[in-house]
Amino acid sequence: MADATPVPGGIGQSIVRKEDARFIRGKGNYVDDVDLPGMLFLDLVRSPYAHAKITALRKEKALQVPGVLAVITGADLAAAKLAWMPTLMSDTQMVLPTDEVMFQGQEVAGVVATDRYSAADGVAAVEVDYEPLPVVIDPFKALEPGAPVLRKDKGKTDNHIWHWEVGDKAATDKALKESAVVLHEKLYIPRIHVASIEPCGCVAQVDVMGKLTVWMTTQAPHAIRTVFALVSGLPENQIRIISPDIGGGFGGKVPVYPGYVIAVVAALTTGHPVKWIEDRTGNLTSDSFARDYHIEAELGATKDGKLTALRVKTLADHGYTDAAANPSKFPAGLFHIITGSYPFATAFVEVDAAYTNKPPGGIAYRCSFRVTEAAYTIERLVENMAHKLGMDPAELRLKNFIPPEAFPFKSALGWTYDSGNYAGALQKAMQMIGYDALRREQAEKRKRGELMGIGISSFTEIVGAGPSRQFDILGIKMFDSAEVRIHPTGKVLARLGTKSQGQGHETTYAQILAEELGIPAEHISIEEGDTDTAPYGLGTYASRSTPTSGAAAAMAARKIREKAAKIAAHLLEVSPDDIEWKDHKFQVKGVPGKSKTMAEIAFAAYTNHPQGMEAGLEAVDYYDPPNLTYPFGSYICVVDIDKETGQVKVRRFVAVDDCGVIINPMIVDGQIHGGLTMGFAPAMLEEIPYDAEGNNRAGSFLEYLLPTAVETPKWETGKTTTPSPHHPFGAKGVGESATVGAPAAIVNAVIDALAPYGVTNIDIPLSAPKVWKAIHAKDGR
Amino acid sequence: MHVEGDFRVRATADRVYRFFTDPVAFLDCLDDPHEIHAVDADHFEGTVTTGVAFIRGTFRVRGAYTARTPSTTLGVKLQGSGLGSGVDADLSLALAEAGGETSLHWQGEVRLSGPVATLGERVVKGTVDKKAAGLFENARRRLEGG
Repeated sequence: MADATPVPGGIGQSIVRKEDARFIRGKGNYVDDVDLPGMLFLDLVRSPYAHAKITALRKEKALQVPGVLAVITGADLAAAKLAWMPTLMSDTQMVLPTDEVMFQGQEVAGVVATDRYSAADGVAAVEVDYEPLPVVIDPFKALEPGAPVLRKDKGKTDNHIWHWEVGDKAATDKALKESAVVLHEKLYIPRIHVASIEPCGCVAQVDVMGKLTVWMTTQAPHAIRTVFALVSGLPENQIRIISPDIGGGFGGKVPVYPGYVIAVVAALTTGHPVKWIEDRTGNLTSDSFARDYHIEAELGATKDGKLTALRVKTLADHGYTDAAANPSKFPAGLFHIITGSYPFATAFVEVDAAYTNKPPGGIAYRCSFRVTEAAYTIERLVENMAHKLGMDPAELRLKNFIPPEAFPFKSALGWTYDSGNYAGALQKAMQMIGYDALRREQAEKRKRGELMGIGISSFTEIVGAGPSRQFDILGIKMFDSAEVRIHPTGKVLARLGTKSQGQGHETTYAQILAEELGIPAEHISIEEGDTDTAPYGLGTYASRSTPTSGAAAAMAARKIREKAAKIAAHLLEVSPDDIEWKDHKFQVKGVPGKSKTMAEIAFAAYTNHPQGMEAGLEAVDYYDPPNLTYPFGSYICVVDIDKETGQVKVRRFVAVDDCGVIINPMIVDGQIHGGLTMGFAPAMLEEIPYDAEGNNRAGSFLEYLLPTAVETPKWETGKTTTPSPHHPFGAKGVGESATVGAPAAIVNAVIDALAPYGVTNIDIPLSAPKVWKAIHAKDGR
Repeated sequence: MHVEGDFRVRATADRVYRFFTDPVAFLDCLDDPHEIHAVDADHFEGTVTTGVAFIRGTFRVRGAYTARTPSTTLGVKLQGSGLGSGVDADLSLALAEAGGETSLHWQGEVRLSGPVATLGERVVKGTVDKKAAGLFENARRRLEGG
């Protein structure tokens, strides 16, 4: 990386995104753009009830609707043993029900027709009789004795799914007992939805040779192919999953949804290609959800502000099936990163999961497997502890951070953090925002009765799963891959096992290869998402693409360089030992003028390679990371609150991120801006509430409030760079950091503003009525 | 969701009672396109094409008279389903005749499920109130028109 002459489009350069050439012209190719001859359309009948017995399902009238060709029911699927499918957490999920529905909006039948309108008319004509059953919405009540048991099909006698714990309970109990100050807090992180602008959908086609091709909105096409093969019994070589351009994934497009399976069944039974595109209400009421964690935490400290111990008990609401997209060994994901940026001597975390009459829950949503829940909890606790101790929240953090020299650092809950400089990030954020002056302003305003708050969040992320020794999904190890081929004219085609959903992979992977191969990024093409062409990989989610496939790209390029060095020696008529890679070309050591570029070597690889050497210049790498990477950052938020209305206005928000070596600063800024907005959203607006009957009360964008440009604050970003010592070029991943770090900063600012009222918590989202009630709780208004 | 209301009509209680125990006549007062027929003396069914906010389409309706005290009280249970939504209602009507007029007080509980329930009670109740007012106004016209 220290070469004098930068390669065009190499690492660290803010080149424009290659893929934007089609996106900004409206020329992206999404699933709904796939149009095949003879294609049919699938629409879904959904349950109006959260829990009910199906007493009758009549499809006759639907079949009389002009254009309707088939109605697929649970009974039809059961005959083919396809009524149920496995979830990513090895639970089971209905494709279509045969007896009972388990949540409002659940898929009940599929109608296949010649056009979308006929399919919708057919859905309206399907007659289903339901006998409503008792509904279980509250996970605490779900675990009470006598609660209706939802998963009798599994032989369950209660609604408890699993218990998981980590840490030293006895030591933590003792440490908390001996702590001079113990903070106790209950936090609820409500259900939210990824709400990607493109909902889920697919086109399934079976060709004359019996090969199934599915164009699908999936973040993990290879894993989906394997799951399809295992569930359907079709040979895996007869299944091709193509994930074209995706309009946002955020974890919501990792699971397999019933609509995909029904479309495949419809294609197999009708012999026609079948398209299914979910509508917005279907998306918001039935696709996987995130969060829904009820957290009770205790944080201990000495009187002078040294943090001593952390104990956390959590109840996770998973809906009627555990469909979390977590590594199989970690049912609560990576929630045990909850010790955050602090060197606790001891900690203990336990999580219990419950079934309720809600859709399958537990996907990541831009949070690397429950990391947002963890970061939110610890940063809320530390803020409240500062208030309890009468210390400045920044001072408390700076006093307790893991120091830079302590890395690699082993946390109390078992993680080995790779690198970090937490104080450096917080000090930079404080400098950028003018922290001391803001505190002085706040003091003045408090004297005048005005509500101004300053909130900090100094989060530590954990991304880049594998390593394969710890991480798998349904038994498939979490590595990732790259296949790099240099054509004779020095142009490159690289295929990777991940799948971009807007992250800019076509640009960033090209930049990695440009740096490693000395070939301009504009001469490097990136392909992903086609299981017939790309090497096997686990896909893109949890900020894992750069730490895994990005690393694989670098390692494949280095394998190519090993061979290329031999060709260079052959061309320059020197020993390979006399060749060095410098300034993005091969040079004879000590003779800079005697050199060969990678393009020259590529041509020779096909036209003039040494006898006995295979022709061609390509390599494949399956990268199994030795450890996770640990991006971090410090965010500071300033809010002003209208005492009379409870309206919160984010006045300033400074985000200092450290994601290791940055490949494209402009793309990283874009990722952070998007992530901050997606952190602001649940803090202030987003929630999927349910009524007592189990009705989803946010089934459209009228009720599920996404922030627009009007509500979104202006983000001020800064960077520090602490390379990962184990990643091939020091990168860590950044896609989710801002979403992980932002909510706590915003809520901490609001709680800081309300500190004079003794308010210690308001559960998100911080709507104006909630804030108003908190302000006026004591004056009886 | 609780609903209730009153209306007065210049007709005898017996006539009003008979009108509301004829589901075809009673539900023909709906402003929305509908097709209702009696299954037997106590049951009726059919379809109503209606809408609340953006949820519009045809609902399958089934109803049953659950209590009858001639010229005095009437109980009706309604079940509707369509567009992924469900509506269940238990309604009671109380009649009192005085001075050549009959006053009718109606009340009941309506349970919503599915997307229509996401709209919130204020939106749905406004629609229910509006449709009920239309229904009873039409009923008054028919009853008073002979």
